Amino acid sequence: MRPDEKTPMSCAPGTTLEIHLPRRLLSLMRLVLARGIAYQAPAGISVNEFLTKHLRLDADFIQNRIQTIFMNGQPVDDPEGTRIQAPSSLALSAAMPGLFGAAFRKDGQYRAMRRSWPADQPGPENSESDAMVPVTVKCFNQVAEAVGDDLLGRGVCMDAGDFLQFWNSQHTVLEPGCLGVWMDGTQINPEQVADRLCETTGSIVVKTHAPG
Amino acid sequence: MDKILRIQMGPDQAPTAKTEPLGDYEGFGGRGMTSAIVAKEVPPLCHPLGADNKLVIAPGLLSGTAAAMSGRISVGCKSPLTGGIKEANSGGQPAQVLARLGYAAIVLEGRPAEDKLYKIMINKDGVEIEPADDLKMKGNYDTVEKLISEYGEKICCITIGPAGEMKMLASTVACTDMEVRPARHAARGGVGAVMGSKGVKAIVLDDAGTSMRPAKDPDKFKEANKTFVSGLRNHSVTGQGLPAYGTNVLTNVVNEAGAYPTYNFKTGRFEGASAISGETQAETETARGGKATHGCHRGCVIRCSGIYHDKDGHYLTKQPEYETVWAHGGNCGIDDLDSIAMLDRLDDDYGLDTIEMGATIGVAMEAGLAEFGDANKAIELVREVGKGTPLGRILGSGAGVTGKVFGVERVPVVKNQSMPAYDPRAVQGMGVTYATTTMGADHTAGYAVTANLLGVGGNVDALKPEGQIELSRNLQVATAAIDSTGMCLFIAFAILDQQETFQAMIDMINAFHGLNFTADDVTELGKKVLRLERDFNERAGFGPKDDRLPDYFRTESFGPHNVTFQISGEDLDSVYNF
Repeated sequence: MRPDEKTPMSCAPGTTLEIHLPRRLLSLMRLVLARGIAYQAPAGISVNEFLTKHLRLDADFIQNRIQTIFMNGQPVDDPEGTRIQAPSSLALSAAMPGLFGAAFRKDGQYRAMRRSWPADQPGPENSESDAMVPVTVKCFNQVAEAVGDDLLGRGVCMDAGDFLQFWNSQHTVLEPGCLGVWMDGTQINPEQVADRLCETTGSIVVKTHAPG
Repeated sequence: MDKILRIQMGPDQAPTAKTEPLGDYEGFGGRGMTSAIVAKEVPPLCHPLGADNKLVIAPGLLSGTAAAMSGRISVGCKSPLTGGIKEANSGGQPAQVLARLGYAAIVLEGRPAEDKLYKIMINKDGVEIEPADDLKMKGNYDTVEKLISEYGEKICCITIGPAGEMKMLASTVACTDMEVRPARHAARGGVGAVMGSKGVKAIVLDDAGTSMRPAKDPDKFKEANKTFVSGLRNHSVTGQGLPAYGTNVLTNVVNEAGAYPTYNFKTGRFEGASAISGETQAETETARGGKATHGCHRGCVIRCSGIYHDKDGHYLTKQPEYETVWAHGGNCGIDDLDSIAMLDRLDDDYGLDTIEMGATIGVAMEAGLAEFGDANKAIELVREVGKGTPLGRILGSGAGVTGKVFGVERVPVVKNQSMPAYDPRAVQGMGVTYATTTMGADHTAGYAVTANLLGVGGNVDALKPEGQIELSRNLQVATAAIDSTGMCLFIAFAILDQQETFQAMIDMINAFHGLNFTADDVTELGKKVLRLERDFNERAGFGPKDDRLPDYFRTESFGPHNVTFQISGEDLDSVYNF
């Protein structure tokens, strides 16, 4: 991890937030995935295996649709050979435009354009082979579009503060647009979400339901 | 497109227009045309705002045809910002219309004896030049509205705003889009100031009564265009990412890479990136009744633009580009899309380069003129530029001048032109292009990621240490060639990945012009253009010292990866060894 990387949170949620909303607002909710969702994974797992097992992505999607991957801010060219040894942040994106997109594309032919980055210092290895490490995943653009509804439908674990920030930035649309919000099984007024989350620390589970 | 329109603005006579055949400029289009004329006809040591400089406006080789994505127009001159040769290009309607009117270039020459403004009307019947003092100091939006009321809604316009009239170094030449809004700009290098120095406020184009340029081999051309369009639509970048989110799709990803220059190039990550990302922008536009997917000219298939409405659902500006969102956003610590859109609108109206202005405001913030993140103050500073106050005149002169006036060392310029939205310490190959391009720091100078396909310099091994130099050289050559066709550079990704799309582009050029161009010929065209530009700059006094990044890129490490720019001067000097 770089010094300024946010420490990946472990997913031990105290609060569950269930949001019922019309399908037209799903794309708005997907924006939350860019802020990072929390997983626990066994140390040493490959990026590929992590995406398959924990995000339930199929091999074809990983190979062809996810064209840009960063682990702790470093581009990943070989998701099969790159292993998650320590608390990590993973960012997933489709192919990006322009020279930047070409330079940072997975195993792309313009990757020389990003040379001279110091090799990332490996994180401390876990001595126990079955140790679990926290992994924060950010999904951007078409990746979020493709997998976001499924992830949110199953429920994602994320930092309460990050979700509050997201909610505050979109509350003018979400509060009147929501069909209902349940916090730990109790229905609350959507306008109460921000106040209630202000009192919440650590991680929460956010789950969406969109009828139809 | 077989003639050049030359307009002599004075000082010895009233403005006059004449047309002449292409002559030595046969076979040139877009950037190739502007650079060839400037290199041959403009004295390299002339004052950029003097009578000896020329402003050349040229559509591309395929503009005015049915070829998709062929709507870029090039504007060239000796730049008042860099002091070297300049080509800035723009989308919008003028390239298509000017080409259909038969002009391969408009050349504005001389300078009026008095401080007078003119407008030039060009249609199938000819050219009329009339006084336009009633448009003096009007913004681009008001100017175009007035021109529409006079000439009708079917026109398209090339105009300057108050910044161009005040001959500011950050001033642009505006081009109207499909909605006849002056929202597309040939923005870089102060080209608006040169148009202002010629006393030309507006060029009005009307192609009524003309038709599309016919291809030499219509069937082959049609077939190639069809394959080309299909390739663009099927590719994930040109068919999905860019249409859905625009170029601002890059914000989240560049930020994640730690390459997003933030707080005037101090660090590579911006906490507020998600709030100003392309994904958030697209949602905002859709929710307010704007458009997240929109073309800037007829014949655009990628449609990477959009329409941004304010909170009340009224048009504010076109969808701000990634570079604009970065320059006025993360670079200044501003994470509010509405403020960024307002800054974009003001820049478009005054006729200012959004990259230059964002970088300038960042330098001004570092100088203490405003706090990073203070959007209201940033808007106030840009308004100063529009009004032409003494402070506004300084800011409108760009980041380099502003840094000197306020004693700031961290000024992100090369050849006095501000860097775009990728820190060269994090993307070192981009730094090679920033340092060595003839244009001053410019990401689009090495943008055509088709170099390997073209076989420019052979296939480069991306893992070789010298790869950055070779790749930058090859990219600059390929870009100069594409810029001459009038094609939008965003076609590059589909061309890179899909051999048949690349071939279709070559086939289109060949079928249209009756040529047998190969990839080698395209490469040779790019090299020829670069040699002309490089030669002009050398005669204007440029040398190796000008092909360098500012010192602090070598001495200040850039977080989060803590890297400095490491390419040696010797290596940079080898870029033009071809």
